Amino acid sequence: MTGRCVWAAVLWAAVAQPAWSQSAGSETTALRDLRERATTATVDPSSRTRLVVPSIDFSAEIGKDKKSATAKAGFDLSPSLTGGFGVTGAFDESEDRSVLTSLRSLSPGSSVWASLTWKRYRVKALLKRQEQICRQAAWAEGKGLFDFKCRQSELPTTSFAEELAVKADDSNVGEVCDRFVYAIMTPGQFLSGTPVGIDCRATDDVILASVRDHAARGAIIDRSFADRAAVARGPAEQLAVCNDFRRTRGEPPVAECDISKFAKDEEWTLSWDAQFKAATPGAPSNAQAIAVCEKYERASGKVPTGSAACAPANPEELFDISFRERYATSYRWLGTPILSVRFEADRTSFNYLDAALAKQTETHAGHAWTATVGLLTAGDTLFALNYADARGWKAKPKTSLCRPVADTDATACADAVLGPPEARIHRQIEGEIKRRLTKSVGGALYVTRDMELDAWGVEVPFYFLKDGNGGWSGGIVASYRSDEKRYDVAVFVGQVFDLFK
Amino acid sequence: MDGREVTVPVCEFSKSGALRVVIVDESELSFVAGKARRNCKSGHYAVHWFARGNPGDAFGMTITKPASAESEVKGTLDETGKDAGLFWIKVKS
Repeated sequence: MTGRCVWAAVLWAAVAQPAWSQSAGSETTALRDLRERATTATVDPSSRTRLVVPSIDFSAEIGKDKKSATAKAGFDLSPSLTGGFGVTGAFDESEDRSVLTSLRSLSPGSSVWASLTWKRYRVKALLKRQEQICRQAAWAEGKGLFDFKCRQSELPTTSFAEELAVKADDSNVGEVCDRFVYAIMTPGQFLSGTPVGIDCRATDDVILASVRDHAARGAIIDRSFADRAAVARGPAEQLAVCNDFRRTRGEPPVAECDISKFAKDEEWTLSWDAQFKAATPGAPSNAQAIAVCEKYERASGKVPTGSAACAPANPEELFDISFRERYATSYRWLGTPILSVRFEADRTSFNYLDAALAKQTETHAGHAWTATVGLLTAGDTLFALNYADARGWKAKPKTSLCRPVADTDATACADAVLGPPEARIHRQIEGEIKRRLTKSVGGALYVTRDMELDAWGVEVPFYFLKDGNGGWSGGIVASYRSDEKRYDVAVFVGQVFDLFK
Repeated sequence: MDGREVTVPVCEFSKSGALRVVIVDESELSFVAGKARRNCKSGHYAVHWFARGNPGDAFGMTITKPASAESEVKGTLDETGKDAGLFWIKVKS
């Protein structure tokens, strides 16, 4: 259960009111001076408020023997340095709050903590190249630079070459053939369905050979209906062309025909020859090809020619590689180094039974220092080395205690802690690897060595339970510790998987 | 130095979410609590941005000053958890 708190905005407004946004009405001389300096070339960073609260988070965790809630806040101290503090309250009546068998739980009770984290995101980019790609993409879309937001994930994924390329499934020869057959029929043949010697269900090669045969015998395939209408001698001949065209669509003849409504129709403006070529696998329609070439020509800085043939003679990056692929190769993320220190003070109440089986409670304070050196790789894998030095207390393990029930021969058994807690010193070094494993599962591996206990432990959590924000905040964890030779597998919720916080 | 003070427009930027790096005029902006500002003389600037985070994380950036350069970018990271882009602004004194 993690939620961004609206109080963040309120606190931010209260704490972070920057000097440059002070109202003029209450301006003191010093403030006026600051404002003036902020508008000159000589002053800038000094007018920043350095301490602000960008975020506050709340979370809750339910473990096998532990229920806790955490509130934490983060402070930006510089672009790469973040301070944080938080409070964790443990709420349960368990006598033993040790979570699972993990060696990693140093502060089982309520605690307060403060941390300082330095994290630097780095990217290596060819800025001029990015600008060139985006200028070309803007012009390809027919947009000016200032009207175009260039975003990698929205750039086209297909190159101009691919848009004009062969696609085996795109053959449309049969459909053109059906219309061609209607065109070469007389109205009588059309109505009776008389075969004209072309099988439009045949392969493309057979159809095209048949079409060439008909062309040799007088069928007009090199002129469009538009061309024929343009040279028609009088309205009657133009009407005949119109009705021939209507027949290609299976429509009956009409007495009056407005050919202007066909003006943008490829079937009207293209010859059969051109239509068959356009329908051949790999050839986009003439209009599509012209549109692609127009984009390419604009991206090249040329005035569109209206040509459907624009492939450059030699391989050319702009033509052969998509904008998105080119942009993706114009930069790369570098590893993100992480340094962190944290101090935690805890206070834990321990319930136990003494030697006389009387209930006792002791409260002890402890503290822990933790230092982390890590690297978040460009591929989003986190490697970290953690060192912890802790002074705390640990409850004795639970045992099953059976006692006679008064006035009966029966006994009642329950888990109980026998004996007071023991002071513990931990000096631990831990290796950590964490990454998203699939789209729906995240995983981590912790290998911990405790020098004081001369023990080691392994913990492997898998995150797959989603929280309200779509992130992972729970899953299943397996753990082992060598000193107690215990294995554990448990479900957990509340621990958010986030490589970037 | 003749003692004159030259007024230079200040560009103010704010960013949020998974936006990690913003480069203007080939220098990286230093954001503190999601805010950054820099002096920018009149002219055209390319603003390069780089976002990285968990899939589904939102990110955004706005330029609030000067008025001539006001603009906004926002989005959500896809399953790759990464995105980048750029846009141009005009600064008029």
